Amino acid sequence: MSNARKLADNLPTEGQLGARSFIINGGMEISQRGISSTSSGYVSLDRWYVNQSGASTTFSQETNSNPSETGGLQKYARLNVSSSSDYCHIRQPIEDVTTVPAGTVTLSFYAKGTAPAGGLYTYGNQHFGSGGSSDVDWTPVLITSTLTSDWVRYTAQITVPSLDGKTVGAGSYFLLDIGQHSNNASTAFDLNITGVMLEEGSQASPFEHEPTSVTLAKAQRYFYKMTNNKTSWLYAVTTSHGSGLRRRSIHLPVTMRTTPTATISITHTGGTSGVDGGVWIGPDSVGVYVNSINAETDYAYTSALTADAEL
Amino acid sequence: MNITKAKYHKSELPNSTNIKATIDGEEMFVPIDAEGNRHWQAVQEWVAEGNTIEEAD
Repeated sequence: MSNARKLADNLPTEGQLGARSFIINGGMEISQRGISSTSSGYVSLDRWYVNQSGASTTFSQETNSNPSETGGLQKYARLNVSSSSDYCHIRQPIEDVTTVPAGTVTLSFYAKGTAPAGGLYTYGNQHFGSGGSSDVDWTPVLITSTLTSDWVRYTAQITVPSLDGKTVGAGSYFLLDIGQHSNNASTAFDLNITGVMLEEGSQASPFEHEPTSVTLAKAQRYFYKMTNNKTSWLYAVTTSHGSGLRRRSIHLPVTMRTTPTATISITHTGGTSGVDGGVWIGPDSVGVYVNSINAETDYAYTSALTADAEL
Repeated sequence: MNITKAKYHKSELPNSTNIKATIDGEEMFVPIDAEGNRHWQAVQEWVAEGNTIEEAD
């Protein structure tokens, strides 16, 4: 029997048949920021935030040479913790707290390695955004006390509190954490994880594969990185030698969640450079500039840019 | 987030002011009043703690 036939036979036949998972980059394929980091925050795999909470970690994208062990997925995330702490975990905030409905949702993933002190937990909260209701923690769930050297698919049911009567402001999200919970032991652990799904209902369905381009586009709503694009020239808007101005709007490939924070590297001879603010930046484009350039002899191009609209 | 510096910044265009900030050791341009932007939110909290955004040059 072909793999395609097996996959088809295992697909759900009722309920939501497509776009079942609330998680982005659950297959750990996209890593615009780089494939390994020892820092805290959004540092490697897209949409996944490392909360060190005082721990020493290396978070990296790895390749499984036997993808049949993980439902065909070649990539996985590794959170290698040499010295841990309570609440050391990876997490993903899911945009708009109302996206994950009240009731039962099911988390599933492949994992191997060693579990944190106290076991591998999932926990999190409902964050109602700016001006919204106070955060509501949902009940933590012990997923497993131990991990092994073999890939195993784990599932956990999460009870999502009611949204009735809540005020939802800008920047709201449903937060999903996976890692060490309140146990404050510093014991090392090694979480290898992929195929993460969070779906409505009490049953886990097979991992929902999608083209890499689709996952990348979803991730770029929150973060975009342009590197070594030396075709992004800045063009003259005045030829005055004293205050020669160069401008360019970098059009983002996906409309971002909000107006992003930007970092920039502009190569130029002469003048000063930066990112425009105010009306010259938005969820669709970032304005960049060089001022006081000699329009006849100087040149300028954008060599790197990031735009960050993460939650 | 660890904010170590924040300064208003504008190019020569009108209505172009943002905040040039050093956050977690990285220099970045933070849009002002960007609803839901986590860096703008962090700058506001940093100011509420008694810190000051420097005036633009």
